[in-house]
Amino acid sequence: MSVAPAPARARHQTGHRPSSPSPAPRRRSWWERLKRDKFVLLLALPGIAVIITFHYYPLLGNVIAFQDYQPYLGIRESLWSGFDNFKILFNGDPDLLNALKNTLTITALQTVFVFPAPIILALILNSLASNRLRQIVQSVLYLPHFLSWVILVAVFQQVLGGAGLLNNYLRSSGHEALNIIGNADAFKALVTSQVIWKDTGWATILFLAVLAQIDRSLYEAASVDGASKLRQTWHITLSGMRPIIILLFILKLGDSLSVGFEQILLQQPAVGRQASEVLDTFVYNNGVVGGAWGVAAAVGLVKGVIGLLLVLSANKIAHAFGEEGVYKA
Amino acid sequence: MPELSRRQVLGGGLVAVASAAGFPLLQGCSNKGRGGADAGGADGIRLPKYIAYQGFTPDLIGKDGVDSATFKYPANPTAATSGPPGDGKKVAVLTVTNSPAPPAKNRNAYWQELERRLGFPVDIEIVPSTDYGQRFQTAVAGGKLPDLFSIYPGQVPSLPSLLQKKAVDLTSHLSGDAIAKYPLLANIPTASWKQTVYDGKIYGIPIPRGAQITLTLYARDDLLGKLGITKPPASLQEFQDLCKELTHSKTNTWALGRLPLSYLRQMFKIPNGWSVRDGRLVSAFEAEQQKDALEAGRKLMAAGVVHPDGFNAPSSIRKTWVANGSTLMVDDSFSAWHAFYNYPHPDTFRLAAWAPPLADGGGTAPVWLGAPTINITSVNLNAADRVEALLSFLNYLAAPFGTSEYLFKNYGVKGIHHTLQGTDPVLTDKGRAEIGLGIEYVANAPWMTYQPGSPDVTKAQFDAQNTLVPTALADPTISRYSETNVRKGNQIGMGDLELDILQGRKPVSAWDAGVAKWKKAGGDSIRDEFQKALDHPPG
Repeated sequence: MSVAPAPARARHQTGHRPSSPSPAPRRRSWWERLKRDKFVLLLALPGIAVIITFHYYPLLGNVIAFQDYQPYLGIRESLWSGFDNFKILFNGDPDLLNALKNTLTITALQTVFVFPAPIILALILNSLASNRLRQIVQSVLYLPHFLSWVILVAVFQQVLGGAGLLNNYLRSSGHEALNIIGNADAFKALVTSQVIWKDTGWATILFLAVLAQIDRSLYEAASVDGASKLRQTWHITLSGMRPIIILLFILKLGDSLSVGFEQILLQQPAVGRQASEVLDTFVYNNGVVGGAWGVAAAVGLVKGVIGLLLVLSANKIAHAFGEEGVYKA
Repeated sequence: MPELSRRQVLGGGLVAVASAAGFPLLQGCSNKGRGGADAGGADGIRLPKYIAYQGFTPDLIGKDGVDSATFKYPANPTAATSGPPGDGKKVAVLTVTNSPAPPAKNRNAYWQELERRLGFPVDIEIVPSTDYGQRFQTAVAGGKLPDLFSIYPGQVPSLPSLLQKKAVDLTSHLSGDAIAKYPLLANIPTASWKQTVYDGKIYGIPIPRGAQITLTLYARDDLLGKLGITKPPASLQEFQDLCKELTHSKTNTWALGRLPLSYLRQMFKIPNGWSVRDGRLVSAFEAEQQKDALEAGRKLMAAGVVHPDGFNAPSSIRKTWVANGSTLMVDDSFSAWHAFYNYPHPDTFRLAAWAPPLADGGGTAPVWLGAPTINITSVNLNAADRVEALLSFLNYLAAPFGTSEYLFKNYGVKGIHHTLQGTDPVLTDKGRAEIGLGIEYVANAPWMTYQPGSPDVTKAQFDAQNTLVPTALADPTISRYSETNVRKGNQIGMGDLELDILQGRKPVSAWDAGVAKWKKAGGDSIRDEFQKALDHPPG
């Protein structure tokens, strides 16, 4: 990530050497940099150890995608099967296609409805005049993030379920009850709204932090120039937020095929698999439950690779548009 | 049934689910599994000899599959074992629970006393029954299986090969007369032992359940009595009319806690999972009457007589509905009868178990008999050198009703975990909290119908079984193993389609296409595997 050589190149491109050769920033050797940054690196060590132990080391387990893996035999004794497990991706397996269809539908819904929600909420919060009120509202909005999905699903059942609060009221006041929880057609809308309810408040944190960094004097200058509130929001607030929005969007693309495992698994019995099976539950149902570990691992592996490719290409595109993206090579 | 899913993550009765699904919970085995050793081994196995425990005589002795019943716990229970069986070395156990987690060992007087009486330090890892399948699989994959582990055979793919690699072959210790060394294990009926045999070897001990897994329709006898309803309905029409009569959705009262699809299927005389026609195994899915039963179910759903959350709620919640009167009927297993009393209920609370009438009237239909074993417990191959000590451990936990060991393992220590009402033990709060260690799923005695302090409830349970069990229809594939069924049975099962039809998303006529799809996706393989297993029964 060193940007040190850039000025040198810039000078070079201008075509003429400066008269007094100021010492060009010498590229330090690997060892020198290590010595210079030793304390910082030491501080990073525990984090690196955690990432290696819990993220990189388990990746090795993906070899079972190329095995006829049996848990009682272990990785060493299970037979190798080459690419046999990957055949399911190309032979039009109806269950996998159904899971893929549901996943993509939910991904699309989440991109359209879930992703922008915290941005809008952050803008609203930011426009609240009273600091105290804002803090209270924020705390309330953060809370659902800390509820586990089991609790949250139970809460939704208590409120929207067939014998829940809403339907009790409807029935006692002589109306027809609404079938929301057990309705396969409403399932995708239901899980999307659950995600919005649970995580929108929490996701505003980053956006609010960025908003706090925007230079106040820009607003003053704009209002002196006669810009309306709307134009200020568009030209100052949103453009200030743009890098972080793009960064989060790229990261989101990476796990766009993970649309919620526990949340969906918990609610699967009510609506059936046709409506609710997604790639993650497919992997679980076939692997851990059904014992087809190799096939499940193959599907999971391909899913991970697709996510990686999405992140990399989105990052490239972001660079092409002159944005920072997630990182620079 | 709609709740075909194995997960039931929000909790709930595994047993009820499995039997409601029309699938046997256990497919015990006698045929060869994937990569198993010797197919010929299926024949010629001598199951452990049944030697009934003579130290206690029940008040009502069950015949023809009916579980015996006792009104009072004996005043001076005798010991069935002589001294602690333990070798003093630690025993690690992985098993199941359906109760809230108990306090840890250092804060659990019951656990400490159990260790003292057993003569073993005992480490038990208890997993909620709904999560057990995946916990077991990860323990296997991680090489972390303890000395003793519970297995739900219907949930474990490649079970015969797994057992061969990981479990001790107990045949020489238990087969035939050898079991006499463990007299309390010898008290387990032969039917239950069939589910421990894989590739012709005994790989575990069964946890017997008699007729308890059988599903029946419960009705609130006390409340219905007030309305003048004392008899089960005599036909499908009467049942539908009764359901409508009992439903008052404005005051949140419904006739049914969930749609009792098995009960409806029984009315139409649909077989219990599978049937044998001219020596050929046929799936109940293919029965012509299926569409009639589904149509009847759809009508009940459309009439709004089923609790609106019936498809989502776990069986524990459905029990509370019955206990508090918001539903008057629900289907559940025989073993649930006493469990209803664990929920807040009025003193007058009484249940009746109703036989299904023939759909067109003119008699009752047989119910579907449940599996005689709920799970098995195997001994880790790594602990093979201690197998006799571990079998003695299991022998102790299999102490039958009427013994002092049974009193202790179910009710703890007098004055601490239970008090006596007459001679009947009643759990204290401390007892309720500490006792749920799951040891009843590690080893257990044959079921005894017993409702402490309520002899009339005990009698009602025994009578209901006497009416329903002797004529009950057994599933011919029970204690048979089909690899495809374990791997795919649930996933390709018809549960989703049933749900769609009952909730009106698909027409009843979609059933035929669904069955054809099921057969192609694995149903035919399941049939063939079961057929093969049936044609080569254990000796």
